[in-house]
Amino acid sequence: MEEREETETERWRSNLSWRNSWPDYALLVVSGVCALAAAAELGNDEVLRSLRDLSGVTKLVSWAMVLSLSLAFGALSFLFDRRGSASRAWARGWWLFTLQGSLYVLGQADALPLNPHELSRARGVLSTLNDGCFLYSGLLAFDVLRRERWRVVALVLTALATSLGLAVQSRATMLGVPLYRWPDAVFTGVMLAAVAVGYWRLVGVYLHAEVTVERAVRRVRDVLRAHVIVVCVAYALLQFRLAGDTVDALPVADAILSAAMTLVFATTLPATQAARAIGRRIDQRLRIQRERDAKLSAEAQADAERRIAVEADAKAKRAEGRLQGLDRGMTSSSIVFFEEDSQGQLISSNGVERRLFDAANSVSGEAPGLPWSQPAEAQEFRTRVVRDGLAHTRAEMAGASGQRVVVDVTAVRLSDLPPTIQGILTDVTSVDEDARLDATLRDLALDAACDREGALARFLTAVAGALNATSAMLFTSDASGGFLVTRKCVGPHFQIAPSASFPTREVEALAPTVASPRHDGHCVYCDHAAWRAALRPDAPVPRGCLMIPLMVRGLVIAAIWLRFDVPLHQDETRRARLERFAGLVGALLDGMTAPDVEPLLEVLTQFAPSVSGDGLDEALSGLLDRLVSRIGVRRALLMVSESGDRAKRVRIAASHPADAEKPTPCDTDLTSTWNTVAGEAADQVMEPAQEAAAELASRFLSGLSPDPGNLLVRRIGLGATVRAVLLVTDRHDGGGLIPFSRGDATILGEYAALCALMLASVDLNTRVLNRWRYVVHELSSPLVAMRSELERAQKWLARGDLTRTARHLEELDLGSSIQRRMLDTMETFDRNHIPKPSPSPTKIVRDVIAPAKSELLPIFRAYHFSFDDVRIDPRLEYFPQLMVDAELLRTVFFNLLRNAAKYGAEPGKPRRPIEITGQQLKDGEVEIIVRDWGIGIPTGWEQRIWDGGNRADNAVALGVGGHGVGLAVVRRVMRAHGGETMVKNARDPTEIAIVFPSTTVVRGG
Amino acid sequence: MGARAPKILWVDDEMAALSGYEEELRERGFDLDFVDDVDAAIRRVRDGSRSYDLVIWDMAMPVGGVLKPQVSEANGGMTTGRLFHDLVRKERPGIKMLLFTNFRDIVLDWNAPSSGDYALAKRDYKPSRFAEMVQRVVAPAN
Repeated sequence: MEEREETETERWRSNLSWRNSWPDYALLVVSGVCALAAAAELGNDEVLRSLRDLSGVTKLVSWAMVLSLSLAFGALSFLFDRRGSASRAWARGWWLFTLQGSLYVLGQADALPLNPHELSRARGVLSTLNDGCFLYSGLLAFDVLRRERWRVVALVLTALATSLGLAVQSRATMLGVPLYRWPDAVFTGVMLAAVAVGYWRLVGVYLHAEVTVERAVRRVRDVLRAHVIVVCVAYALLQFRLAGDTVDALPVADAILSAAMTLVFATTLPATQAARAIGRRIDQRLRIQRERDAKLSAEAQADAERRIAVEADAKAKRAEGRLQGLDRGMTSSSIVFFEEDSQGQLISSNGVERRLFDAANSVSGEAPGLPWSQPAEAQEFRTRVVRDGLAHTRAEMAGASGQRVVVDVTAVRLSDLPPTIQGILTDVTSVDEDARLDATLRDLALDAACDREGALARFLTAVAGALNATSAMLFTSDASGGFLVTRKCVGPHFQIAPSASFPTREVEALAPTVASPRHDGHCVYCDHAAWRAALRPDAPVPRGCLMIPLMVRGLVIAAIWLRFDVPLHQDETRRARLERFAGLVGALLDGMTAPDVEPLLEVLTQFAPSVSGDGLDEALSGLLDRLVSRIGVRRALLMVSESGDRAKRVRIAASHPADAEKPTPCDTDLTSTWNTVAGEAADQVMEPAQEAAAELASRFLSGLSPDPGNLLVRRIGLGATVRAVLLVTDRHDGGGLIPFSRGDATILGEYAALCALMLASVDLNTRVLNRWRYVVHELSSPLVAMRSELERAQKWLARGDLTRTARHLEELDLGSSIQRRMLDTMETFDRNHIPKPSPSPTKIVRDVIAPAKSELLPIFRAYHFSFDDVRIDPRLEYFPQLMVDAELLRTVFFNLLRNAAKYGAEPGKPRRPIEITGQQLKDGEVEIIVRDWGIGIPTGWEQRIWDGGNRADNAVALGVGGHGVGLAVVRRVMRAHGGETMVKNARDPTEIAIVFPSTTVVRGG
Repeated sequence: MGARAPKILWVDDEMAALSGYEEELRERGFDLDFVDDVDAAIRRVRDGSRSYDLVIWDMAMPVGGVLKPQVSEANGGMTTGRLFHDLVRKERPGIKMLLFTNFRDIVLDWNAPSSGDYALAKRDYKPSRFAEMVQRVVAPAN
């Protein structure tokens, strides 16, 4: 409070100082002198008479009104005007009024050297000036009133007083004072011009709402000041003009002036209010904005600092974890981009590897915090890196703690890379903002080593997200794979399944063009109408798209294509980012498609030819041992199954003794998880559904570690023939997780594929061998029987028993018939022979079925069927004759009945007779059915049994001989006759039908 | 009292084709049990009341019920005899076993007289010659 009073006091002192207020003091002195002189003349009679005659009621009322207003406004200004402007104006008006009155008195007393006209003009000017001062004081008093209510009250009072004065003065004018038209017209015109200018400027206040409160108030005040000045000047001119004619015109001018000023007040006050309101809102908005900006800036900075701290912490932990892993003798696998400075020193940008390179560069070979203390090994490592740059390098050495340390580095010399890739990698590894891209590249590279397809999809998703693309497609073409095009899509526009409509050929044709160095990066997609039409015939033309050629690096051609809803061609920043992303994809693909081919060829050459069915287990173990030693993994398990192994055995090759047996859950967590999953995988490896194995792998991954890099599960399926699961883990029991390098994972995948190929080869060999063994077995049995019967016939002949001799000779003949029939069957099948029938009228039972049944008598006995167990429907005897080749048809029924005998009984169940029935169909065809109650035909085999070379699983499991060609020959013979074969019922009973066309039926036969 | 007739167990699913051999052995005085399924043969081996001097077996036979748990190793019935051989060897270690098979290529592998294993190919032996070989296996000349 004291401080405030002191400030106001100082302001008043400043205002009252001679330097700031000398005009006021001068005016005060002049008016005081004149007042004293006038007071000295008050005793003059002339003066007294003039005052009595000229003033009158009108003059008194007019002056009283002006004085009251001046006093009132002056009082208000004095009370509330903190800046003193209004008070000072009021004081000047009062002094001028005093001066003007004093001049009047002195003029009446002839005390001044002026004639009456000059004196009147001077008084008029002074009167105008004091009126102006009073009015300006009142005007400022309006402005200084803080509350709206007081302002309204002041305005109403002003209006009432002005109206009253106007009425009185108008009345006086009408009573005797003539009107002077042209000065009034000039005065009115000047007033209107002033008001118009003021209004125009007030409109400007509204139009330029960007002003603040201070600026708005200042502008309004300028307007009012201009009004006062103009009005006062015009009024002064009027007074000067009227002087000498009559002083009674003064009240009229005063009334007009008061009315005009009232109007000005009434119109400018709302403008001031509006300006204040606008200004307040603007000020409030600006304040809120400033506060928000400040808050956001603080938060952003804090967030950035927090993120940087978290990333730095995570990076430090990763580096520390790797160092600890190295210290415990684990394998460190990494990708290092390096270059050499002018002194030949190796420079790397990676964290742990940087220290490793420092060690390689140093003379002593030592580096703080790195378990590497052998200078010779460090130098050897350096030599290998320099010599084998852009190659896979593996160094083994003793760590500081005495453990074996394996440093597995894929060192890539930047200068060996194409300029584009150099720029990308240099950029990635040198800019802080792109450090995350570096991490992304490395993560994706590792992911891609295990799951290339998934990595590409994730990468493309990341690219699309970073570029705000609504849709994106990635084509990768690997020349080493015969320009196979891999396509990945994200976004709603490209959720199209691979189908015949996908323009693979166009993409393949376009790949070299896209990858050409001459390609300038413009939108190939837009230019390639055929491709576009084939890709999405119903799609609208994209508003903006871009195809970026990635790289041509020997074997890899890749292209990334994105479609945006906004034009990309003009967006240089986004395009630059896209190109960089594209470069990363190229580097990624390059790493993925550089297989270590030579060792695989070596293994393939070594193992594949030597593997037989019996040696498969040893071969698999050998292969797995080589794999484990090469990759350096802790445990590996290979599980394979062969469809050639009819019993569905799962072969297991394990690098760890605990995994050699069929895995069972045990106590320790890691081993338990491993064994459980391995056991389930062993069971499910036979399942054709890959989803089960995928789910299994996911479960294993989730249970073992969030890092998928430590386990590789490869499922290989070559059709339905061979399935294999390869599980490899590098989990260290007490340490952290070390992901595989991409090179290792590639080799693992190739090894797994090699296993599958080898197994396929073995499976094929086994199947061929088994088939030949079946054939040998089938042909040998009758031969042995024939030799036996021949010897028996000879024996009984020597003993003179001709009856027994004849019987054994008959058996010998049957055996030879069987042998011949089987040879015919195999010959027909093996040469893919289509028999040419020699038709003749044939009775189906007499000429075909009965002889075939007789030939099969030894077979029936071998399978415990008696001759009567094969029952022929008597109605068949009355069937019409058929124009068929009876000899070929005997082969048909030989095979059908032989199959019925072989498979006509399930183990442990009583045998039921084999039935041969038939019917004539409505369209004239003849159908013969062979029915048995045996093991039946499994579901899905209804057609395959006719193809030849296939034996149903239940037939194989039964263990009886057979080579799977009998039914194939049946079908060939029947089709040669224009007929057909079919399975009418698969089981209980099994019904095999052969149908002769109506054309073979002999009419009237 | 004459010498005891040698007891022979013969398991082969192609009994009908081997009737001449069976007849020849019986005429020569062998006490022959001829069964055509592996299950019956295993039951007789495990039956302690009969002590066989020789077990004749075939390589390719239906698997049967006893060996079904090992069906994956039977190779579709083509090597059922091997499983049977291993089982008999396990339960009757000293018994002589003669493989009489259609597969001539495996005969050499299975001829190991020191361990009591013999092998003959069916195609190479008529019934009389086969009976002579069985005689030599059961009662080898000193």
